[in-house]
Amino acid sequence: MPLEACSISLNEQLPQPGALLAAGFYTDAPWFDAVSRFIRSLFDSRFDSADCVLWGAVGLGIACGMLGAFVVLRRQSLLGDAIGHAVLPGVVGGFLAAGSKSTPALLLGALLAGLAAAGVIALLQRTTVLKSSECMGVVFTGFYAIGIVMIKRLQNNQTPGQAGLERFLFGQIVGISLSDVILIGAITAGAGLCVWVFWRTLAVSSFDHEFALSTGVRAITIELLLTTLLTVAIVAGIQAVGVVLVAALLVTPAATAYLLTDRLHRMVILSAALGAIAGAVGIVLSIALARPGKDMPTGATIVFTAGVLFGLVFLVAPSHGVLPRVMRLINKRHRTAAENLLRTIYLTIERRGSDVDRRFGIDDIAAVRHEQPAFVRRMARHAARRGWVDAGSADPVILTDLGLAEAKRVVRNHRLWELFLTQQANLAADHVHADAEYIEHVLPRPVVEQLERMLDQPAEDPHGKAIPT
Amino acid sequence: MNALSTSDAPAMEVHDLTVSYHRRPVLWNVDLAVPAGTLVGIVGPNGAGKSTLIKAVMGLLPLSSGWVQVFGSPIDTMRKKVAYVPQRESVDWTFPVTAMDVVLMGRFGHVRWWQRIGRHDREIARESLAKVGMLGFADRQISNLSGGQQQRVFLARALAQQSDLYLMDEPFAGVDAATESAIMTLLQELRTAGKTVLVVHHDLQTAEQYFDMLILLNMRLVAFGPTAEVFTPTLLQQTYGGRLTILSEVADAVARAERGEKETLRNGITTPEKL
Repeated sequence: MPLEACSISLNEQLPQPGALLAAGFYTDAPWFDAVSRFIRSLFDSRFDSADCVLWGAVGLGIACGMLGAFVVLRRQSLLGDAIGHAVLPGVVGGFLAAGSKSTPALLLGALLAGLAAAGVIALLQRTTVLKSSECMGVVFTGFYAIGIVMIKRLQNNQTPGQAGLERFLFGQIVGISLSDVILIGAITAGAGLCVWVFWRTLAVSSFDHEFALSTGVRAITIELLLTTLLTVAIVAGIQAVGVVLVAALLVTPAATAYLLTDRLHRMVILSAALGAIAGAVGIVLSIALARPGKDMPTGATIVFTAGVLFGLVFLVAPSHGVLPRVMRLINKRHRTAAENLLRTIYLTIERRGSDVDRRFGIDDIAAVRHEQPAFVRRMARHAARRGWVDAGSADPVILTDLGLAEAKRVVRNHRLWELFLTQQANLAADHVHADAEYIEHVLPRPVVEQLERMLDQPAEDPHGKAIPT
Repeated sequence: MNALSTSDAPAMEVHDLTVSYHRRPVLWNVDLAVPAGTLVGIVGPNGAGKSTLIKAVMGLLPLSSGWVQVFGSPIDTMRKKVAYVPQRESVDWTFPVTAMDVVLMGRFGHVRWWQRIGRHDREIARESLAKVGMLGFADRQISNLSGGQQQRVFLARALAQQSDLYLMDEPFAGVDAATESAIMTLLQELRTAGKTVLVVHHDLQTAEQYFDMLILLNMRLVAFGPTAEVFTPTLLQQTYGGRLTILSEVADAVARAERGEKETLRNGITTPEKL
């Protein structure tokens, strides 16, 4: 409910467009003109407001991405969200104390509120039976509500200079000053230095907290270090992303990086890079999607970009991604079809008693396999792509040397497995064929070698057929 | 050579140790003096406070009363001499590190915060991995290891600490037979080298053959002594029998009183027969 009330007031307030339009980005020009003007302004020699906005967003992306890696690894994503919301009354308090929207005052207020919220959460956890999620839920919504009430009061009282405070809800980085960018840069550099200096402490305590304590790391050191870093990252992030969405800037790039690597330092670097990309692309998106005199919160576009990056990685990540997995499955199925063709060909060779004649008619193979000739032709195409049969000839199929070796390997796997099942797993000989039919395609080389040793380099399978070498 | 040769103090001594979780006592008035160079098993039923005992020794839990000494000194001054192996389930094995990275963590306590992990530390980590038969898996991400292999990595990390006292929480839990015997060999080697090893153990069958001395624990110390002397039906009955549930009831009462909660009687513990 408070959120809704404030969204409405956002719309009333935003015809304060002077500052935004002055920045020259949210114009009535078509979106590509606006974007190209922004990009041209980046590459001219002056360090103007376009550069401020871009470097501000990139710096925030780096700081939040880097620290977010630890938030994600420690399963503290909810704490990020909690602190993010809880800093709002601090922002307003900073404004009241300073009497103006001076960035350092707002951020200092936010920092204090964030640390206070973290402290209250820890206190509740220690003194009640409530679990951490309930403690966070109670505290951050409470802090957030106080912040909304304070903003609304200031607006209603027409307090001078308050306009624009609500930008901290959804984030609006367009219009930040050079001194803001320098502050963000200092925060990013400081956070980076902290991570570098305390790397080992962060790594060991994130992985195995009790072990870390057992080597003499102090629990209070870790708690303070991480909560402070987390709060600082959030405070840095709220200008661009706003208190509502800032947790996403911590969690999404880090979660994306987690899908891409299984080494800690790579994860931290990737997460920072993804945060930077989300920041830069999000700014451009905000400019492209804005309408004359109406802004588009950069928080929404930056987080949207981070979400799109996550989606892409989820789909195409080399080892964990969905698409590569589907591709591998399809490839495996084609390979299995081709291997089945080779096995049928090898059985034919056995019947002929010689491999001098390498030609095998499609219809003959189809008859043996009880399959349609069209299907056998498809199998032959998969085999040809792997160089197992001659690519030039469709019917009859001509087996290559490589194909002959591969055929022997497949039949060998099949018969070794049948032998293993009958000898070591005590299955009857007529029970093992269907099983071997599948296993022959998946047996890795070391397992085959182990089977050979266990079965003492056998010469015949349970049906009395020779095991090819 | 190490602390044992410079003093005759026990490897580990606890005096009148009481530990509580949320004000509920889980260990009462434990006195122990473990001589150096022994392989000691800690046995007792679930909830007996076995893990609590070694966590309290490591200073991971606040003590309600009593004190702990390691080689005659407070634990905080002796951390490099003590290696702790937590339960394998206590960590998230999808964490993005390799087996080598985990073992190197055993060196962190030996390096000042401004120093870097050096070649010497890497060499020690490699040796430790080799001792548990895991050198070939050094570059594996730890989620790609079996349960037994993960446990070996944990032990290698403790070896890399090059300590004199080892406290291990259920190193045999959920491992395959090959790993169990490999771990046992390792523990015996440590003892032969003059190290002291305390192992939380849940299997009474093997406890008798594995350990020189046993700590029988059930919220209080039932017995501590050479295995031949304390592994007796009477003492085991005292450890595992239901006679001590009264302690658990009293612990609840203590917790309620300490938290300022209303006094409620459960399970009729005040009936004369039970008392």
